[in-house]
Amino acid sequence: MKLPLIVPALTLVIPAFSQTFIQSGHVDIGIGYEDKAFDLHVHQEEPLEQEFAPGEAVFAIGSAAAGVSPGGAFTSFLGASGTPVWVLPSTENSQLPFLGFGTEELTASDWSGNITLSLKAVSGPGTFSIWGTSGFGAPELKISTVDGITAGDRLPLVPGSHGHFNVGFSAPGDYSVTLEASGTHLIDGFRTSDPATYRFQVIPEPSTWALALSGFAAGALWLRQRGQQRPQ
Amino acid sequence: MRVKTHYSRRRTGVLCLVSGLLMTAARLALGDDARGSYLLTNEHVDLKVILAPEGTNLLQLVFRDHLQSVDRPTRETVVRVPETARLTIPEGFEAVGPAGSDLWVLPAGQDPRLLYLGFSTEGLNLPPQSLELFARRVDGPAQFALWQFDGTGGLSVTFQSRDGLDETDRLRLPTGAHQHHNVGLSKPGLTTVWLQVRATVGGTNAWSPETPVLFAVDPLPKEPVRLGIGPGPSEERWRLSISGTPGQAVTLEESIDLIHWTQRPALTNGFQPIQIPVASTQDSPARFFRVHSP
Repeated sequence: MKLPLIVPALTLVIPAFSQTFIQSGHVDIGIGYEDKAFDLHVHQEEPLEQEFAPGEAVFAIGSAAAGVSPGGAFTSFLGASGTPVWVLPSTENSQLPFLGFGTEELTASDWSGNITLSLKAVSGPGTFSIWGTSGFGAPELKISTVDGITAGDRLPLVPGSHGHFNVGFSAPGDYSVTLEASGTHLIDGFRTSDPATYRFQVIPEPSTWALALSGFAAGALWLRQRGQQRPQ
Repeated sequence: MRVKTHYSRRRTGVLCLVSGLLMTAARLALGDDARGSYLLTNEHVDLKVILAPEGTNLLQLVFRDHLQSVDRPTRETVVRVPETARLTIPEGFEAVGPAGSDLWVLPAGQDPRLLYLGFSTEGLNLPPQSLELFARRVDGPAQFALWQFDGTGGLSVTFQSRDGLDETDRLRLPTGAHQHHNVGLSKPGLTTVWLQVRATVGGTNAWSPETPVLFAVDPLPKEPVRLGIGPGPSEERWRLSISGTPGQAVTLEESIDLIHWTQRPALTNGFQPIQIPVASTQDSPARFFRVHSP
């Protein structure tokens, strides 16, 4: 029973050294189009403007994202009122990545209708959701894995612009989110990108850290006790 | 002088014909520097803070048009708010307005039918937390409000003119960033919101001028389009003048026989009448001008 506690603790503390962790500032999941093909990437706007392939950057979501579901219209994808959630808000919080979805590299007049960003796969310890907010605060759900992944899990984006949405997770841990862009180019016709996988690292609240570390300590104690019990 | 007015049931239009332009033996050519206001409808724009060290004020507020990649002076720009922006305020949002009343909302989330209006300090090299935006006054029939929601629906109202505007109506602008808010106007018509930005660096304040942002909220009261002509800056130049409802598109046409008309690109009425320079020479037939508004 104690061994499984070690696994999440290790998952939280082992870094991926070859990746850039983005903890704050404006950053976009960018969509470009070159040589008749979509180019999905990460476009960091501040503190330095730089670009990464999807797998090269990790969106590190700190404890400032921790909150609870307000219930009501949010219940269907964030859980009942009081359920813990981690949210990257569509409004800027200086302690969190300000994640947008950018199509500014596309020439608007080259496209018919919106660009669609479709969810293809998610791996992680909890559910993953993206939603907008109406002028009076009602959630406008775009993507949610609560009911699995369907063709309806997609984000419409206006070419030549960018948008901000709320991105939510139901549990801390590492998530891999695979997205695919599609749209109708006026000359090249309907185009679909290769799938691109983005990484999110949701850091638990301090209380959850304490739970994970206590599990880590309990696991270490268990290993030590096993070692002491082995015949010499 | 207006000599003919045309109204149709399907489309209310106004045709104005200037007959006083019978300038025998004068060739007229319309200048290419005709300037109307730019109408913002459904693109992504930011009210952007820029440095203007050569001017009276260190800071300026302009519209950054991301679609055209240009900065536009706010005085030459009209924000169109169509009827599709009209919502009814639900219970629980009294901070924005009375429940059950109308509010025209440009939302913080992009709606392709409406202007996606943000606030930007991108490109500014100033210390963090040094910029604040103030709403100074509102001229026109509508009350003005600005608000945001956090990810789980928590409401934060920044500007609300309904209870008066004072120093508490301020928006902190992170430097080198941008943000989007819900923008609300309570009545149709023409409402101008005067904004001012302040930078505080090392205990010293720098201000932008009070900057007007004109919202044209549908349905607009229709005013007749008026076309006039007057002397220009020199003997060989005249100046056409078009006025009407700000935000209204107008098209100028010219003819030499009142039968064949040449149409020029549409212009938009703004804060000031549209001025169109007209060059004249000695050997041309008479020219007639008319202006049309859909």
